[in-house]
Amino acid sequence: MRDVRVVLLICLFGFVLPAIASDRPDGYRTHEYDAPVPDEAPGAITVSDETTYALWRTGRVVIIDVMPDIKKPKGLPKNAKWKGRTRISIPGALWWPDVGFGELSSALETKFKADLDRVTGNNKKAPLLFLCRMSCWMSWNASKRAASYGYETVFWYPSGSTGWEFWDYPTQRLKRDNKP
Amino acid sequence: MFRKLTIAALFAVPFVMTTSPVHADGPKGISLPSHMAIANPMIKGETWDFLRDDVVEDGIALLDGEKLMAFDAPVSAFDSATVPFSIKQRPGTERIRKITVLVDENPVPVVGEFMFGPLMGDIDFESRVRFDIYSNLRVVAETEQGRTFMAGRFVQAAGGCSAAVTRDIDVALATMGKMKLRHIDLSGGKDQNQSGVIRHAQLMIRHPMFTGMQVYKGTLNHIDPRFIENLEVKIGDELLFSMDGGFSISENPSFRFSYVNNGAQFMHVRAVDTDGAVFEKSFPINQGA
Repeated sequence: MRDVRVVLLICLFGFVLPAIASDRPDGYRTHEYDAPVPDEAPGAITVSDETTYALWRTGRVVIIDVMPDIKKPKGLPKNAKWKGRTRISIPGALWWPDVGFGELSSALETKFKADLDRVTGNNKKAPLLFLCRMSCWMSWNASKRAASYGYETVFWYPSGSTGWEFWDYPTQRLKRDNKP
Repeated sequence: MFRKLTIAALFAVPFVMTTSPVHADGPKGISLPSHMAIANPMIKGETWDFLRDDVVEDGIALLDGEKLMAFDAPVSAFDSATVPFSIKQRPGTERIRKITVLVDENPVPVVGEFMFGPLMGDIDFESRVRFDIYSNLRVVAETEQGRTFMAGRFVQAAGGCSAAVTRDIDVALATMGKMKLRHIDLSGGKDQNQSGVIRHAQLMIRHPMFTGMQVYKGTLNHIDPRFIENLEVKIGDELLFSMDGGFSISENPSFRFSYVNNGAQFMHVRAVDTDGAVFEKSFPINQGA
């Protein structure tokens, strides 16, 4: 009886593990962004809360928050002042709400590349750090994407703003930096 | 005979004992001082620092609104698309000329600017709003003396700006603009038609109040925003209140308010939505003998 169970378990894992793994190296996460994330993003260095804090303190790392915003509806009257969502995060971080999705339009991808060029001064060695919040695939996608463009020092901060706030590190309300 | 009476008395005693304390407290029950009753004070956040400039002029001091009014909103709401709030002005305070209502964290934070005419008397006002995410709900009140007060509550409710339309969209659009006015007699039998009497009314307007964040079932395409952005309620020729804004006002808006009767024969309501549609109705009042 016990043997049967072990065999069943092996069968199950045999199917399930490759299924999970296939979500990692090729392609990006395109759905259920709020879900547990793996330990690593391809091409990126995973960093902890403390390391992120230390990196932030150096003031030399470009920190990019990819938490999504709400899309502004078309046809709102002018006097309905649109604020969008509030993003409280790491002081000085750039807020690029759309670049963490699984698929980017070619226009957005071009813009993402151009924005990265702008903030790094065309330096592929410049350190970048991506975050959103805990158990959020958006920063995983963005880290992997930046690494795929040839950036050599990409940090991925998986605990994101959740971890940052937990340690009571200073926060700031971010403004969108990549208005289309 | 005597025995029957004692039995009856035995039954009556516990009844009297349980009911009497209620009568002793009066129908309203115990009322705590307002500072003790607040279960959900506002939470300090960075959003307000950023919004303040849009709502309050530079250099204006914000006074404690609790002294001017009793402001009420729930700790949490069953339906984040219809979160009630109410304002009851404290007697003997200066006339409130204008209030701005905000849900800090809504994508359009200003719910509306409400102007109050003198016939609103001591403000007793209630409506319902949408909540996109947990947020402070605050009211900034300006008085005739030029002073500005603020009060607010933190409400746990989320998803209300994108909440599904509660009825078939075609039906909602077909019945759009229908209005109802209801008077509530709280006077205990006084003649309501006389000038100077305080009356309590509820105005209901059918309108889907689309925010632009909702979607059609099936296609999941976004429904274009369309909401009442301007509302005016008059008694005769005199303004009771007006509203400008409207994004966060709940579907089928409802306003409960009190006013001082001036004996006019009609209450006029005029609503304009963001598509430019005008809805008007005159309700006969003070016409019963």
